[in-house]
Amino acid sequence: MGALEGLWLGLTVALSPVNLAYCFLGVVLGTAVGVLPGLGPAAAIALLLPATYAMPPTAAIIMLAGIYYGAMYGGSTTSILMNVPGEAASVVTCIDGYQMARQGRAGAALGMSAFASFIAGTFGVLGLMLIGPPLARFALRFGPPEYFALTVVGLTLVSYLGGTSMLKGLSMAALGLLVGSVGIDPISGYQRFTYGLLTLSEGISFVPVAMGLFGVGEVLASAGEPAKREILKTRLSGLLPTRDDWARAGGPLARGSLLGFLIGTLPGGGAIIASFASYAVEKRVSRHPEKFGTGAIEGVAGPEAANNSAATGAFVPLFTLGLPSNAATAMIFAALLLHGLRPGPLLFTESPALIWGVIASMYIGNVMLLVLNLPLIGLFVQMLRVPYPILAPLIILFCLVGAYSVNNSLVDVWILIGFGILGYFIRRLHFDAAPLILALILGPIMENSLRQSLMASRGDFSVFFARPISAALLVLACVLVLLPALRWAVALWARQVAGGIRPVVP
Amino acid sequence: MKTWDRLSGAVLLLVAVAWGYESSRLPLGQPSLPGPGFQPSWAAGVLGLLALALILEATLRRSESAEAQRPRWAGEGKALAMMGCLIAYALALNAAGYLLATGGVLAAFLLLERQRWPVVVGVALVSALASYWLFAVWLQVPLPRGLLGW
Repeated sequence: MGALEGLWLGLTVALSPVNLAYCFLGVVLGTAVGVLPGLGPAAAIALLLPATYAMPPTAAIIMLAGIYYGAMYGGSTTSILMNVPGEAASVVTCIDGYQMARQGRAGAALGMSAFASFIAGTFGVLGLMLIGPPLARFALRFGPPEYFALTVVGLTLVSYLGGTSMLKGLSMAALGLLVGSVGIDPISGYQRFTYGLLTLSEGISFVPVAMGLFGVGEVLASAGEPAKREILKTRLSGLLPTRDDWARAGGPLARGSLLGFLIGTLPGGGAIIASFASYAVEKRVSRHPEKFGTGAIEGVAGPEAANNSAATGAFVPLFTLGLPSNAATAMIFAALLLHGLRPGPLLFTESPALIWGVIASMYIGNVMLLVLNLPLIGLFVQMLRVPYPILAPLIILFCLVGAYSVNNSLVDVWILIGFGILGYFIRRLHFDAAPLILALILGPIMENSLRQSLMASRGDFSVFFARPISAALLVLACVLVLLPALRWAVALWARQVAGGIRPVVP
Repeated sequence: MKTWDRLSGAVLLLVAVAWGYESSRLPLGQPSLPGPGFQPSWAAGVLGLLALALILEATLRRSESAEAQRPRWAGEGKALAMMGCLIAYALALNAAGYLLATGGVLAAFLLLERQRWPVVVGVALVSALASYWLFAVWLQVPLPRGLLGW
């Protein structure tokens, strides 16, 4: 099926009243999640996963995808008006967005942010639509060695790009692999680490783990933060950027859209890195880099474009290879599994209505978001007046009841609490939760492909290096792991050498 | 952060050793036919190596300023109290039933957030009842009824 044919099919699916309603619900929830600091899209999708059981699969995925890209629109509002990022991908927007608001240009900053998000979001969907089908066809040639190599690269990249320390990221990924090994072994049927608990036979469910790490963990970690946050009192009129604004923002917008999409397609890339990368690029190419940080509209347009196209780009590996690249798409991967769908290249041929329906809904969702974020921005700003001390217990409530309702089991509540406490320490000790949740989801794929490869090659490990794609991917993973170790060793050596040479005092 | 990184490395090392030991009790199989203990064993081994590297890296790291040595601990007392409330909730859920246990844990969280009594009672009561209606009545989730039957 060609891209245009697919889009036509998708529009007939996405424009049905039910799917339109769920798309609207998704983008509204996404904007709300983006606006509210302390609740990210991954946590919101995890919270809503149990509620999607009763929904048709297409509607469920349309809604969850809407939450993810909708959060990118909402995140900038809080950054611009409060200097607090509503969503991690909007951290960079604080720098120039808040300065613009202080100079009385909050309307222009919010308007530019919404337009940049819309343009880049639409660009991202176009990219997904054009790249997705050929990549999925290509991925059909992949066998177990390629899938094993892809999961290895995915986890390595998430650890490399995600947090402050690669060692900490990789440790979380290894821990996630171990947690993912709980339950019945899919090949031999052997019970692993279940200790007689029937609920654990099917493995540790990712819903309570994700809710714990991203929902409960976030609430616990926010316990010491100030409850009252100041909203800048400023005019929200003049949401349409001026001609001069457009002239200055055009380049950053185009570069941000392209860069964001490319970074978004990488495992571990995601919207956060895309927005930082775009800001760095814009500052470097600008003729007036000194204006960055003082309210430059380029510093709003570039990162806001980048985080939106990255959010859409993240659907490329999910839909074509069946590999989620960040925590939020991992939750959508989980939703596909919960609805009995097998994420991967066959989705395009087995469930074309679902895939194209979701892609088409993204075009519609972006239009809805532009409308929601321009005239209705004041309404979302009002949400910021809901005090966090009231919001936090409600997040906990949804986590508790959501975790219980997965299997109607108290064991899942214990898992939620356990991972919530772990999530607290992960934040406090500067670890990163994303590699853990990705490894939990990718673990079974990695194990199956590893064991199938070894069985097919009769125990010959060279099978992974005999095929060009898996060999290239594994070499990339090795380089990624060795680079920081090499850099660290060189720095240590240089320090020792420098310590041995005493400066000559004249 | 040096001390905390060494401590987290030690905890991860303990987890790796324990998990590795448990995995070694599962059939490992052979390279041509890997058994159920194969993946957990090597994953535990990798975690152990990474934990050792974390300890080593923190030990050899250049000494930090007093500010950098402290992790961003803030409100740890409140966070610990919240953890206690959650554990108590899980322990009491089956006996007390969903409504009582959930209302209780919400009230405890709101009290920890220093809310006024009318807000505590109002929010806890309305949220517990609304979520009960949403999940038990509308979505037909069999929530625990407790010894009192609700």
